[in-house]
Amino acid sequence: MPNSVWKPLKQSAFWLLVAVLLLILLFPFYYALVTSFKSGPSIFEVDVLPRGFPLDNYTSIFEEQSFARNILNSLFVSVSVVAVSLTLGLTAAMSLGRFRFRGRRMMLLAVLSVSMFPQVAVLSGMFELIRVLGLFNSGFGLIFSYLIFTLPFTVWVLTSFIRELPIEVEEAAIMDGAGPWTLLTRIFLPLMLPAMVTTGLLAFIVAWNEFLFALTFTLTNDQRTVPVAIALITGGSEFEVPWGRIMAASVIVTVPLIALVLVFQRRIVSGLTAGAVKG
Amino acid sequence: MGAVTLKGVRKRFASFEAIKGIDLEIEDGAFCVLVGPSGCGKSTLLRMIAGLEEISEGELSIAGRVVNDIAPADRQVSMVFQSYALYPHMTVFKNMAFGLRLAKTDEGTVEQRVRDVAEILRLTDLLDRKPKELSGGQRQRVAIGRAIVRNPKVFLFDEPLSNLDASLRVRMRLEISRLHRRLGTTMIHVTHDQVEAMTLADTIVVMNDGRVEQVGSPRDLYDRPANTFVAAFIGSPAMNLLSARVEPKGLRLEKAVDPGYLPFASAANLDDHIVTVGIRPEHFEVLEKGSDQDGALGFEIDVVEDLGDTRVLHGVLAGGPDCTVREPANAEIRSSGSRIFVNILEDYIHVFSQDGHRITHQ
Repeated sequence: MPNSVWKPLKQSAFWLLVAVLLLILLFPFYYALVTSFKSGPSIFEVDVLPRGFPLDNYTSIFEEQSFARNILNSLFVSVSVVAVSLTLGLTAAMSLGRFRFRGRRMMLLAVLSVSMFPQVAVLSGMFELIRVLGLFNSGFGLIFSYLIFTLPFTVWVLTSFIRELPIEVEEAAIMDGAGPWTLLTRIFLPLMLPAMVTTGLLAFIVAWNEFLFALTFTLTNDQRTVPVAIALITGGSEFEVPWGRIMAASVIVTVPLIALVLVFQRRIVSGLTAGAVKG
Repeated sequence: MGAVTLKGVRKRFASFEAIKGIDLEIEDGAFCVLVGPSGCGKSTLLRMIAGLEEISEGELSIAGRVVNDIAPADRQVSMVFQSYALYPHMTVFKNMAFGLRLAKTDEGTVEQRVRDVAEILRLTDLLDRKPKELSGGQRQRVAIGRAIVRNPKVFLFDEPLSNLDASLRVRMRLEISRLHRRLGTTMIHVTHDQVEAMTLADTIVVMNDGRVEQVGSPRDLYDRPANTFVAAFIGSPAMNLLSARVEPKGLRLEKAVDPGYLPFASAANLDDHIVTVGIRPEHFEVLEKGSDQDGALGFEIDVVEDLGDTRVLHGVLAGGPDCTVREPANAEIRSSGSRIFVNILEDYIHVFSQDGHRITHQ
């Protein structure tokens, strides 16, 4: 086939593929957005474009339900999870990546294997733990339980990142008189910022979206996080599933994630590729 | 002042002994180069002096003070690393100021000292740049500057030039040499490059397999290598080491089919029967064609390497052992396969016992 025909054909095939991919990825979210502006029976009509932008669903979840409180709970839990995982992850990574000690490999494998269990498998055990610790129906219980997903990847990513940092830089700092704490805060921390932003963001998303633990370990609506609250949004009667409100709430809680990713996207990319090639 | 003394220093890693007992005295203000093949322990020894490796046994003192248990930063030594090891997230100024600031030096002094040192190393215009915006040579200068700023009693250089390209390496070598003259501080420099060792050092320490083979000035090492290891290591192309039998007439090269005698008047005084003879390629005298001088040895040329100023001839000496001969490039062109005659002056013959030690004669 002549090149003049082949080339545009290849190009249009490429863009077609991109379009299909985008459609699959974005359609559910778009449909949620459209639905969030509907109420009553119009929900069951299929519309590609929204007919108007009534904000009834948006206002009602704040007025008729304690959705603001739920958002605050989610924020508190997610931010705390990020802070705790990064602090523990960084200090753990420093020792696992830089010091040789007996059982180091075992420890890394143990950390990894924890994250392989399905959530349901640890649910009942975790429930007992949380009750014993007196953390049931509290944000602290959720923070505690979420660490079992966030710590493994935080520790692993940061450990492999720390291993990539040239050891001579650390030795130079030691020669300059840096102790372990100065080393951590003035040398490692700034160098690892991209990796920390990436892992921190992933931890935030996991904590923000988590459902099963949040459902199991909270009892009252004022302790619930957003995903559970959305699932338990009630309609006008018990026979009505309030899709409009559910969609409105979903849109609201997705916006902060999108904003975060957009703000940090350059750092995320450099964090994800960091270590692949020596800078 | 900044003298460095090692007494019976050893280093063990688990089951492997990297440094097998080293006694060494480095005078204040000396430029000492530790040289040896890779894995000989030279870098480990330097890191022990720096305090980055613990000393398993023995005593290390710097400026008259035993420092075995003193933290690296308090030993009054600075180190320049092979990979420069600059702090990537700090500007040149901050890189150089880091140590001073950690030592709680007041900001005015920090500023002053960094600027002074930047002046010496021509870094003044680069003070606000980050390491990634610098060339290899500039990074190297920053690394040296960071070491100087702290005003140490001893500088430690761990193969600082091996990451630079050839021409830059020669320039930096000169610069380090100049710096030593200017500062007068003790410098200990590790390299595997014997040219670097010869040009920089006033004392060379040749190491092999965790031990010191010989300590001496570049001249000493070249003229009177203590053993075959040093003999082969110092000088390029390497010294020819040939096995020879001690006979009343002189030293007869093993495997030689020609008579193959080397002139050696005191051969009769040697106790050994078999010795190793060392002859530097540049110490052969290539005889003009036809002048079949008495005692001259035949040399069958195999490969000719023209280096511009000199020519290196690889071939077979006296029909026996492989040998290298160096001659000035202005001599007549020789082709591989041709046969020439070479002569060797007795003064230039080094004799080693079979176990490799120099036999002192006369």
